[in-house]
Amino acid sequence: MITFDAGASDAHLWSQVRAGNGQSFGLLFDRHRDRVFRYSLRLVRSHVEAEDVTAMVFLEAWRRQTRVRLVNDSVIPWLLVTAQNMARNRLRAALRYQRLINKVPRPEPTPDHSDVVLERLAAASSHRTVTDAFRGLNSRDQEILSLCVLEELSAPVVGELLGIAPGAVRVRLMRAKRRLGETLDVDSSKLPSGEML
Amino acid sequence: MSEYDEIPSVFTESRSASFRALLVDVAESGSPQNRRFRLVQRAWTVVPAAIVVVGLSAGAFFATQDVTDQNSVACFARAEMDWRGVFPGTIATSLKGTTDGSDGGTVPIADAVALCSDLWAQHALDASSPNGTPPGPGYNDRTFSHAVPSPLTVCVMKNGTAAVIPGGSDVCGQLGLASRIG
Repeated sequence: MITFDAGASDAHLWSQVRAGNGQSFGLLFDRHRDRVFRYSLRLVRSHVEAEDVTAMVFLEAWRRQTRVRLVNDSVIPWLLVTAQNMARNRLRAALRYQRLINKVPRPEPTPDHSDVVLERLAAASSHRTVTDAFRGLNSRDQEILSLCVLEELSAPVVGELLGIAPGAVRVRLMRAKRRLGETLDVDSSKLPSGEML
Repeated sequence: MSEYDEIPSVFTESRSASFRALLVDVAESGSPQNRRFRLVQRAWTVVPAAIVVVGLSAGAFFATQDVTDQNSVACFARAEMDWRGVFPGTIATSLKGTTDGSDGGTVPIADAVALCSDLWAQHALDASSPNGTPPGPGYNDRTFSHAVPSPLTVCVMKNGTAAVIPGGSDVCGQLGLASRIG
């Protein structure tokens, strides 16, 4: 008998999803929606787009269920990396999922989230500078900074996810921080380090 | 807490509920959306495969062709041709009618291999020469004693004329030419 235990681990829910249980997929969506959405919001220009990317990430997880990799029993690292790829390849992803996504009506036009963000950051222009600098980085640097610093995933977790050694993760992170530091004209050692270092 | 936690993460509630319902439906085994999604998924696999199959079939179709212009034959000295269609050898144009009762018009070249073999035997073709023909006047050996390469294969040029090329049955494909039907 299938139970819908909201406290069940990702691994347990995922095994039920793979057995064709839709409610378990719904629980995973409830659990990780906001984090995937916030992550996507950094990568795209609008709130609605970030919502679309979030939905596409979950659809992609279901489509590629045999390839989804749980790290420490959690599906969130895979979802975040997939969000990165989805945001990068939005056109291709849209071709695959647009028909489904279009079933969900878009909200009435509202100000772009960047306006909201900018308003909030107006009081602290340095934050805006950091945001701009982050968006100016290449996607590999954005990815490693997002996962290690902003999402505070450990080097072994990120390494397992990206298929590289933890040491290589640290090197990539160091380089990304250096480039971010150069853009901001600050000492990269003063940038947030994340949990891993 | 990171600075990005300050970004308002307000997933539109109504959209969230709709997306959730959609995802549950997609993942629920046997639901209409699940069946449809699986069909689409299969299409993404099957359609490209079908395109490849059709492409290969089309390639096979165009790989054989009939000789539609029998007024000339391209006799190749070597199995070479550049992108402009230039090859080492010569083009033998149609014979003028000379027999009694002929109106002097063109006589179709029915046996392309025989024609080119004659040119080889007369030393009108030379595989070692850059342009495929011997220096000096051609047709100089009326004894027909020069070697004729074997095998010679008939291919079809893009303009529909026959091309007789030293080499086996795969030589047409190697030069991007169609093989003759039949």
